Amino acid sequence: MQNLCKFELQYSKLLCKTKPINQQPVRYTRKPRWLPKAPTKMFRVPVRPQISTEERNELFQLFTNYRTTMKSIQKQLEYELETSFTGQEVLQEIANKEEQLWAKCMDINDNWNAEVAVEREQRLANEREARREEILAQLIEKEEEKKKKLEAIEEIIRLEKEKSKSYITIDNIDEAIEKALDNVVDHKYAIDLAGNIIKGNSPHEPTTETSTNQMRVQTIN
Amino acid sequence: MSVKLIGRTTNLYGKTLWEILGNLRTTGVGRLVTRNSYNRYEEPSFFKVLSVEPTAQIDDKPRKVIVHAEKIFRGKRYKEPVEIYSVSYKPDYRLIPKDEEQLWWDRLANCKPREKFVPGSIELPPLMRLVLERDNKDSNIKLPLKIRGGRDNIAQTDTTKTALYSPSFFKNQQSS
Repeated sequence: MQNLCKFELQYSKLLCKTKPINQQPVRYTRKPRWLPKAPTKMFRVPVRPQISTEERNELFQLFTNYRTTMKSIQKQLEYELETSFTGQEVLQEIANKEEQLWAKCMDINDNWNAEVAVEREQRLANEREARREEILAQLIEKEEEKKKKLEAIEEIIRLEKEKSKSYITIDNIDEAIEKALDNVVDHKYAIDLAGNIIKGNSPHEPTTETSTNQMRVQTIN
Repeated sequence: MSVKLIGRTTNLYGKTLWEILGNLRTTGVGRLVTRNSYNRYEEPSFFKVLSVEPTAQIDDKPRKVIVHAEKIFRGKRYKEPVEIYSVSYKPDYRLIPKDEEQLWWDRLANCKPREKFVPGSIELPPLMRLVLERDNKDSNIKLPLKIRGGRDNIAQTDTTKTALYSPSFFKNQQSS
């Protein structure tokens, strides 16, 4: 029963948005309505209250007037409540409040922006420094590479210059011709069925290296 | 035979509408019927039966009946006939004998029409006035009283009058 009572209270709290002036939760502190009449009270006939006509009329009038008056008072209170939301001054006040809130919000925002700006400046400066160092390192590296390349080229040129001493030029062409004619190199050779290599123009004279050449041809085959 | 009532006292004593009309020739069309609970009023209140339409009886419950009747309530004749159905089972009705019918019509003709004028506004309650003064609001206003305009309500608003918010207000408003 107490739980039921609690639920009633909770629901009444949940359901009403604006708390009514007279809030009277229904409490089941007595016998529940759905239980039958107690056995001892089964045949009890309640005595009706005896009210005289005059008194009843008077009470009727009183209650009628009371209800009418209360209704008009309630209406007035409702009107006041309504104007408390929609009156000119109230609207102005609400607008002022909103403006103040807006200003407050803007203040917070500006502060935040300033904080973030300081942080950003710091970060950007750091990044710039890092970038500069990186570029510097790259430049140095490139310079070194260039130097290495130049050295390699120098080496090649030196070798070429050394080689150029044996070049055939107009001055020593006759000497070279002479030399070539003196030392004729014959690359032609013949080969017989046994695989003997026979150099020179006289084919009947096998060279000394016949056996070795034969061996080589065999391995190739 | 003397009747001895046992159990709870009731406001209803008499017969149901079907008990009366079902036993009459032509189901009592044209006859006058009144309710015993209307006896509390000085002015005559009764029905003149125009048409009767019986409905089926359900179990042992008092039978209901659809009756269209001309209603005269507290000396005032309704403009349109009323339908009695949902309250027709109440054992509260009484047939007016034919020789008394003229008497009732005479009573209706002779009765004084009820009149009631009530003030149209009331002055502010003292605490409310104080609250308004505290809040710097207009405290010289009067609360308008709205009177319910039902079919049986005869009270009329007298806008020129203003009721005082005091016990004397109630004393002055006795029914005329």
